Amino acid sequence: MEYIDNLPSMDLMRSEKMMLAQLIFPVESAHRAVSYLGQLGLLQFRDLNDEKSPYQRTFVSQVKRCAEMSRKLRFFKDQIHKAGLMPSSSPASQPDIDLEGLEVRLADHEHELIEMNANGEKLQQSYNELLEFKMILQKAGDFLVTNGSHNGVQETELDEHKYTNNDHSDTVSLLEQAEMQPGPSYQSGVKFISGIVCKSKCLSFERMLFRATRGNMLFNQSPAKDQILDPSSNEMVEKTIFTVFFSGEQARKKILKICQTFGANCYPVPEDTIKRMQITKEVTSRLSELETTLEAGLRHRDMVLTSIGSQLTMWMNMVKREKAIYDTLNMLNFDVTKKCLVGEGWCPISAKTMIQEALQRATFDISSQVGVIFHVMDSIESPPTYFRTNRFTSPYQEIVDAYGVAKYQEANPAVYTIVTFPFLFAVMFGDWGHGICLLLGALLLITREKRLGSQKLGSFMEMLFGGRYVLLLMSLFSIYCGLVYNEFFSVPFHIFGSSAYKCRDATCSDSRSVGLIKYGSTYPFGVDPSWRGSRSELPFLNSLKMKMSILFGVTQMNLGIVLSYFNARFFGNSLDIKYQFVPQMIFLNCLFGYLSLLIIIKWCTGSQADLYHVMIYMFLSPFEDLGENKLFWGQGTLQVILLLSAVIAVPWMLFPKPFILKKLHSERFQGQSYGILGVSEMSNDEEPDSARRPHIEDFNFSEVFVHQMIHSIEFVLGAVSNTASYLRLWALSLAHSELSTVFYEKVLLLAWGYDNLAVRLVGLAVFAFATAFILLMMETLSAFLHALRLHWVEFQNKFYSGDGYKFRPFSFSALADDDD
Amino acid sequence: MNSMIKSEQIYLDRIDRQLSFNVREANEMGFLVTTLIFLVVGVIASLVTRICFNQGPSTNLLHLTLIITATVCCWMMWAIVYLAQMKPLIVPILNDTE
Repeated sequence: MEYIDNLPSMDLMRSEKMMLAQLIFPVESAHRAVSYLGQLGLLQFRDLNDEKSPYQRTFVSQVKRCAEMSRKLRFFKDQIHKAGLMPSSSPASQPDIDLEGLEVRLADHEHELIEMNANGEKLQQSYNELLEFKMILQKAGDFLVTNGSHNGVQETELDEHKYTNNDHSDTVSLLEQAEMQPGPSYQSGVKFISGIVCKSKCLSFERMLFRATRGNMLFNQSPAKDQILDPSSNEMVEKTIFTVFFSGEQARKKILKICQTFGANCYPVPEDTIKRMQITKEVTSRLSELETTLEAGLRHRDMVLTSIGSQLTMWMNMVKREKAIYDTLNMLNFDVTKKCLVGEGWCPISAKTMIQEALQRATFDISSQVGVIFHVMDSIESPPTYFRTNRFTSPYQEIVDAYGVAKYQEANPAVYTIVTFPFLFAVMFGDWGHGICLLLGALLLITREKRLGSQKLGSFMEMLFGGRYVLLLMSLFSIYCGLVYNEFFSVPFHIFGSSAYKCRDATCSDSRSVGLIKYGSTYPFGVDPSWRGSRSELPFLNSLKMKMSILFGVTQMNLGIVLSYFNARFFGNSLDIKYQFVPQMIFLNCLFGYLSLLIIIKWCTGSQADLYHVMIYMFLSPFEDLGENKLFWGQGTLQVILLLSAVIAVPWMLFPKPFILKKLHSERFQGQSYGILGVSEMSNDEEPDSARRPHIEDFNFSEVFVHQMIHSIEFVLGAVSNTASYLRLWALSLAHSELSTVFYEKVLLLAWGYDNLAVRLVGLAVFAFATAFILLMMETLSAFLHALRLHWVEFQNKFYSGDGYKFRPFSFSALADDDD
Repeated sequence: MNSMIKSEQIYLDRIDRQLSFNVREANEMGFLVTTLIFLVVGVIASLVTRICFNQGPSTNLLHLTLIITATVCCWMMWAIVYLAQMKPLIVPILNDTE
């Protein structure tokens, strides 16, 4: 026992020793000191202003300013993203730009950007209008010079609707009339409106016009050559140019209203060809001017955005840090003189010197006269749990923490989980072919560690990347278990020598009825390859795997109970050792330890005893003669003794502890009612919220008794149910093996039987897909989940309380991971 | 005639027992030898880890714990499968199709 005490302590086994520190900052150095502490990342501040709302705290205005700045920064990021620019990597971190200066700069940039955007929009709108006008001028001109013109008309891409064909001859005559009588006839004769409308709305637009004018109109349309940028939806839409010929003022009003409804833009097109050409030239020149202006504007904006973008990450980090510092400062209290800020925090004892050094540095940098005071306080509250993990142990710690964070300094199951979790996974997964596939995947992730670690991954890939070392161990153990089960994609091999079985005689006549015979020594490593494909394979393997599951289960549960012993020893709880550990060990091992022993003896002696019978009748009729189920001499007596021990163990773990606790409590707090004077001597003027104040616990006997009863019943019933729960190791292993066999025999072998190359390839492809998706992905997840459950429930409920809270220090590096 | 057959029977029985004893011995020897191999592999692994990854007493203890756990798990797995096959109660009965 002393040897165990003298062993060096394992850091991962119990959480780091923490201390509660009180810090007193002079006001001028508070900001700098907190900033340095944030860089160090080893102190967790307690919120002393818990009951205050965010608006009642001291530094609320600074926090608001930081929030406003981060909003501006997000706006910039958005704009950069919309403009399609890549955010460039920031140059080496420059020294502190002060916050006020940054604020002013950000406000300027925002103003500038908003203005640029507004101007750009206006320009774009005029550009669109001019473009539409130009297109209409071109096309409408074509409409107006059709057929009636002397200078031969080139066939345009007129897409006239069917019914207008009938009117065409009329129009021609009308137009001819109109041309022959220029001037006033234009006012009384046919008038037209030309415009442009979205292609999708064109048909309904036309119908509406037809109905409104009762058919007294001619509608010519032609699709626009280029797409136009629609300002509202910001994408290119197809438009159609139309010209409506009508007569009468009423019709004009109606048509204009309908155009408005449909969002069709109408433009005045002069009928005179020469004027048209003039206007077209003007429009074209203005268009090119606008284009250049627009381009120049875009370039300017891109330049501004790029210059912002290069510093964006740095600014964002700065603002995040400042906000975090002010949030932390909000947790501190002003003391009576209002010249100091007082704070409390948890830190590991090993970090004390580093923290003191950081505080001294802050005082020196500020050139302040007064240093920060740092001293240790006692506390009643339970400290946070802090495990120092590296990239190999951290996923396992996260797996354990996902169920519950360890109580301060209790035994950490992660130490054993590092090996037993991949091992139990492998027991359920056991196939060395699949194991090699998993190994390749894990090695891929590990060799690309640096590259994958820096980029942002999707949530699934992130989980996979985080668990790459778990995957590595899982695959290595799977290869080992696969060799033991002798399964390579369900095919057995004779790697370790020849099989131990052969035919009874040379003709092998009764190999299909009575079977082979074991002639030589046992196959040295793993399951004999002769079993695969035989009719009695499943009965043998089922028996083997079920017994194996029981053996592993009893071992792991015993490990759990032993860990509870070490916990009790560490916390000096001899009551737990005597009245919980001992009866628990006795109960579990008298029943299920005995079963494991029977299993091993049966294997070693080759007896035909029925273990179900033995176990059940041990309870039902313990004094009966065992007969043919006798495995060793003295079994009957031993069974009676074990049964009695187990029966005694149950009240042993149920009754004594509550009564002894009650006695201890009454002894300890015997004189408490006279001690209230002592309590008021404490200086409780400063920190009303401090963790130092002790309180007298009242002892509720019935509560303690019921708690103990629940605990004992849980253990007793759990002994049976947890042992049976380990049978999932058998069940999943069987499922994996059967799936693997089916895919191999019914897909690959079947396809390979044909001589056709195409069939073989198809069969190979189906086999590959089925293996990859069902066996490698689904079965991996399934075995992962069940191994996890076995650890969380069956192993950990023997010793783990898991009701602690995690150590979350104030750290700038944690900030970078948090947001996003 | 009968006595000859009987003596032959006794002789064959003795050989049979001798053979089965040899087999039994071979079984047990195989078990012990392989268990020793596991033990030796475990010791070598811990020594190699102590030499190559020496990172302070606490980490060394952690490594040792991991290696011992892994060795015990792997040995248990092998031992269970070996023991189950030492004296089997059923034998492989081949399929009709083979």
